[in-house]
Amino acid sequence: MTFLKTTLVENFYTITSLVTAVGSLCLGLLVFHKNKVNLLNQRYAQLSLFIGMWSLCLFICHTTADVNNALWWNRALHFFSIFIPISFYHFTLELLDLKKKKVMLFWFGYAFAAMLAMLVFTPFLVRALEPKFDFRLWPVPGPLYLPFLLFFSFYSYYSLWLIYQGYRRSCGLRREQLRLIFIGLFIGFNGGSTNFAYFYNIHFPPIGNLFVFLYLLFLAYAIIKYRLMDIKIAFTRAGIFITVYTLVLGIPIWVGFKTMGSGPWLLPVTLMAFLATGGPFFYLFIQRRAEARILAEQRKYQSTLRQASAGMGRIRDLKKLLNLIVSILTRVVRINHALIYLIDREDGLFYLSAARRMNGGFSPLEGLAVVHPVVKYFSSTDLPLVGEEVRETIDREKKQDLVQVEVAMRQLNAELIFPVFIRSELTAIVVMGSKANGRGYSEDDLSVFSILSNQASLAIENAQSYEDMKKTQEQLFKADKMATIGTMADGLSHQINNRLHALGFIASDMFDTLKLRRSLFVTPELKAVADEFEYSLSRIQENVGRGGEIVQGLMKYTRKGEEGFAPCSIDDIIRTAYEMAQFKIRSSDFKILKEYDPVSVPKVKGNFTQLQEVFFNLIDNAYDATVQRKTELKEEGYAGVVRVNARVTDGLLEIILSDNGIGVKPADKDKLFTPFFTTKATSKKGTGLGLYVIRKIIEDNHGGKVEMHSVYGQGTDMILRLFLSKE
Amino acid sequence: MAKLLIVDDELDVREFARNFFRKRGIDVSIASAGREALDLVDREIPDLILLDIRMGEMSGVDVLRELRHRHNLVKVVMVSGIEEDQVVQETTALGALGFIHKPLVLEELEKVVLREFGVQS
Repeated sequence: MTFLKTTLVENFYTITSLVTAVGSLCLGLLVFHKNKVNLLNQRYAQLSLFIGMWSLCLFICHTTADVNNALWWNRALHFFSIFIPISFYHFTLELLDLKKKKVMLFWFGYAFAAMLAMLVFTPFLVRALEPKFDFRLWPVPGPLYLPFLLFFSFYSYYSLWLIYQGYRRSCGLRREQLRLIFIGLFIGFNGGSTNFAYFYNIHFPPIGNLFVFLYLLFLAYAIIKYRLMDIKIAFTRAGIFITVYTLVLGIPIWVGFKTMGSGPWLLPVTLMAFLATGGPFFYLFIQRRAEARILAEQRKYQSTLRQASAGMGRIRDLKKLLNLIVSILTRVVRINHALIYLIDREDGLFYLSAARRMNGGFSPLEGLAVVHPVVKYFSSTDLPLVGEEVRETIDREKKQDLVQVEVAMRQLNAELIFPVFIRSELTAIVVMGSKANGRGYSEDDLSVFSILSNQASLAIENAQSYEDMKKTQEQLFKADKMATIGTMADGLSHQINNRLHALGFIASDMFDTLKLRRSLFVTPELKAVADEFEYSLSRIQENVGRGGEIVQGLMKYTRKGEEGFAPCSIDDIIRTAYEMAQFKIRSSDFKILKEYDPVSVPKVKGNFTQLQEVFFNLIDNAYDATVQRKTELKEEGYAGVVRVNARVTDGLLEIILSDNGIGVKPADKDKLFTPFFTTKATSKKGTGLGLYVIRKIIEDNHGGKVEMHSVYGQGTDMILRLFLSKE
Repeated sequence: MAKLLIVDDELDVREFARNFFRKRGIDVSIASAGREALDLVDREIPDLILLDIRMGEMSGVDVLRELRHRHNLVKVVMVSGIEEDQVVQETTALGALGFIHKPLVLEELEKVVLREFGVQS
C-alpha cells in the first residue's frame, strides 16, 4: 500500500475536522442531556450531531489510505452534510417560534434532504475521488451536486437571514442571545462553505473549515452567559473541558500525522483519546459512589439537620429558637461547642445569645464589637469561615488581615463560623467548634449549613418580628392607658385644683387670724399652742402649694386649637426662656451655645408662651442633667453646656438641643414622657411633668414632634420639629 | 365703709375671703353665681368686685359684660386659674382692672383690694 504525501493544508484540514467533530458531538449531547424535553435543546442537539458526524467522517475520509474506503467515508460525510441545512432551518424556526408559519418550506426541506440522502451512495452526488490542488483526494461532483449545493446554500442563508431579522426586532437579553447565535452561525457556515470552492476548480483551500468550530464556541457562550436553552453555569466546566481536551488530544494526533502520516497507530491513539476524555467522568462517577458509601453517616446527620432546620420557623420565642439551633448543631453534628452571637440593633454589638458545650472548661466572649475581626470579615462576604481554609490561605498568601481573623477564631475555639444575614444585614454569627470525631468540615457540610443558615435567618426574623409585635402591642396598650389618664387628668385637675385652693385659702386665713390675734396668747402654754398651729398651717400651705403646682402643670396646656398662634422667632423664645431659667441656674459653668444663625432661621407657627414654657423646661432639664453629672461623676474640668442647632428639613424647623449632662438610663427612656415620672436627683423640684407637658405642647397643640436620644453618662439630644410659619 | 363683693362658686374661697377682709374692717358680701352677683350689685352697690371667671352657668366674663351692658362702671378685678389671651383682651376691653391668679394668696388679694380702695378714698 502506498501513501500519498500529505500536504500542510490537508493536515490542517484534517485536524480542524477532528476538533469540530469531537466538540460538536460533545456539546450536542450535553445540551440534549441537560434538558431532554426542551424542543430547542433537541434541535440544537440534532444540528450538532449532523455537524459532528459530518466532520468526523471528513476526518476519517482524509486519514484513510485506501481510496475505496475514502470514497465510502466521503459519501457518508455528504449524507450528514445534507441534513445540516435543514436541521439548521429547523433549529431556527424553533428558536424564533416560526414553525407554524413556515410549514411548507419546512416539509419540503426535509423531503428534499431525504431524497438526496437516498441517492448519496450513488455516483449522482459524488462520482469519485481524485487529487486536487493541495489534496491527495477530493470528491468529483456528480449531476446532483449543484442542486445539493443550492439546497444547502438556500436553507443556510435563509435561516441566517431569519435570525438576523429576529435579532433586529428583539431587545434585551434575547437580542444578545440572537446576536451571538447569528455571529457564531454566520462565521461557521461561511467557514464551512469554503469546502465547496474546490468543486468548481477554484483554488481556494477550505481553511474556513476551522471556523465551523467557532460557531460552537459562540453558541456555548450564548448558552452560558445568556441562559439560552436552560443550561446553568455547571456547563462552563464542561465547555472548557471539551475545548481543552480536543486541543490537547488534537495536537498530538496532528503531530503524529505530520511525522508518520496515516497508519495503524491511529486506532490505538484515537481510542486512547476517547478513553482519556471519558476517563475523568468515569473517575468522578466512581469517586462520588465511593464517597456516598464513606459519607453515609455524615449524610444521615445532614438530612436530620435539614429536617430540624425546617421546623425552626414555627418557634416564636427567640431565646428558645437560638438554643434549639445550638443544641441541634452540637447534638446532630456532634461538635464540641456551638455559640450564637446575635446583633443588638440599639448598639450594633453582637451579644452571646445562645451557647452549648459538650465538655466545659471554655468560657466564650460575651460580645463581639463591630471592629472584631470576624464581624469585619463578614462585612464583605457571606461565605463561611472555615478554620482549615483560613490557615491554608495564610500559609499560602501571608494575608495580614486573615491572621487577625485566625487569632480571633482561635480565641473562640472555632473551626467553622457562618454568618446569618437578614435582608443582607449581618444579624447573627454562628460559631462552631471542632467535630468530636476530629474530622474537618467537608464541602457537603458547608452546603447543609448554608441551608441551615438561611432557615435560621428566616426563623430569627420571624421570632424577632413576633417580639417586636408584642412590644408594639404593649406600647399601644400603654399609650391607650396614657390617653385615658390624660383625659381624666384634664377633668380631674380642675376639681382637685379648686379643692386645693380652698384648702390653702382656709389655711392662709387661719394663719392670718393667728397673726392678728397674737396678743391674745399671753401665757407660755398658749404661745406654744399658737406656734404649733402656725407651724402646722405653714406645712399645710407648703403641701397645698406643691399640689397646686402639679395640677397647674397638667391643666395649663390641655387646650387645643390655634388660639394665640402666631409666627414666632425661635431665637426670641430661647433667649427669653434662658432668661427665665437664669433664676435657677447658679453655676457659672453652665453655658448655652447657639450654633444656628438667628437671622436665617425662619419663624415657626406657634404659641409664644407655650413654646417659651417648652424651652424653659428643656433648658432646665439640661441644666439639672449637667449638675447631676458634675456631682455624680466628678470629672475633672467638666463644664455643662447645651448646644442649640436649628435647621429646616422637609418643611419643618428642626431644633436640636444637645446637652452633655448625665443622660438617661436605657431603662428609663420609655418612662420619661410619662407624667409624674422623674429621675432628677433634686426630685423635690421635679414634678415629673416637664417632658409630659413638652410633648403635649409640641405634639398635641402644635402638631409637631419631640424626639429624645440619650446615652447615659454622655448627654442627651432633644429634637423638636415645628411647622414653619407661612406668614 | 368700703364695700367688696366676692363672686366665686367655691364656698370655702368666698367664705374665708370674706372672713379675711372682715378682719380688716371691710364690708364684704358674697355671691356664688353670676345671676346672684348681678342681683346683689343692684341692691348693694359695691365699690369693688372680685369676679371669678370659671363658674358654672354664667362665667365671670359674662357677668362683666352684662354689668357694662347695664352701664354699670363698678370696679372689677378678675380672678382666674387659667389665663387665656383672648379672655384677657376681652375683659381688659370691658374695663376690668386686672387679674388675680389662682391659687389665691391672701396677701396678694389684700394688696390689690387695699390699693383699689386706697385710690377711691
